[in-house]
Amino acid sequence: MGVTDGSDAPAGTVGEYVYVMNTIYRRPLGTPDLWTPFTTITHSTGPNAGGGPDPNTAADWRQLGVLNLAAGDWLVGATADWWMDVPGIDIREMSVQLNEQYPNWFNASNSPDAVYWSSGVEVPPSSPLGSWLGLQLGPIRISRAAPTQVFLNIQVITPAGVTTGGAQYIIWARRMR
Amino acid sequence: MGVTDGSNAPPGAVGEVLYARADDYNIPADNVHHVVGGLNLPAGDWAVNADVGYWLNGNLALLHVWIYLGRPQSIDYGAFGPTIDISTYGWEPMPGTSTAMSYGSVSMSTIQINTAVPTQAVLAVQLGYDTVGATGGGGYVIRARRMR
Repeated sequence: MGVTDGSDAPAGTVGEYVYVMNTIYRRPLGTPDLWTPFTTITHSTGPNAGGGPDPNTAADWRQLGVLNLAAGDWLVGATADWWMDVPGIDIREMSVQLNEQYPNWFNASNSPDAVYWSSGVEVPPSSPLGSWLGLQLGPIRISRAAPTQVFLNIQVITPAGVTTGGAQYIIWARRMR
Repeated sequence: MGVTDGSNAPPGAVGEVLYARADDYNIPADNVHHVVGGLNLPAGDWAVNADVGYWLNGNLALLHVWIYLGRPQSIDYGAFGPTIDISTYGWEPMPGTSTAMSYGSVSMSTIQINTAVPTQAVLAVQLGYDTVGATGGGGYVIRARRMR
């Protein structure tokens, strides 16, 4: 029979559920100060995306959260939403990734076994995505003999060249066996 | 060895699968959350996810899809308690800028619903419009698996 008392699986047992998330959600437009303590992304000029820098550098990536995983066989997923602080500024590109190798964002050759999972969307200036976008990642399998960490990172690019806003996220994992 | 005869796990046992689906839900594109379906869950530890399709007879200006427990949607993770999280997906262009994407589908990521009493996983969709009076709809499947 299955568990029906609402209890969580003890640490180290099948079904164990761990997560990290932020609970900040609401904020009115035009009040970026409410978000400042959490996440502010400001990117520089560069060759890509209407003035954004090379996405293969870490310059524009920001860490949203970190989930510590004990050794084991985990199923891991994440959700991240992003809001623009400035009305009328549209998201042109947004990417999120789960990565074990912070801050070697894209350099998987450093550790071929590392988990790297990403989701993103990019549109031309004629079809901006608007001021809010949510993306999901996974679930993916992470099976490790030693404790590891999973980083949730985000990159947001706008035609305006300055991207400030806020995000909510959750990274979750369930021990599968 | 695992089960290899193709049978389903019986109710109450680990591996039990529940699902609900609809091929044609209809909702107005009025920027309001509409419950389109749900799944009644007995007490237990469930992994829940969903796939949702949508269409609109106009230019879609907003899409938001949720899975949440049987209580009013508050758009606030914190209100759902530390061990019950909602699954959410969507985007919101600025008014008047949406030029396409009048149909599509999303896969809602798996969430944990661990409950000592029966509850309901609710699936809600919000469609926005830049064409006044637009209506929309789609299909969905929501499913749960007992995990332990």
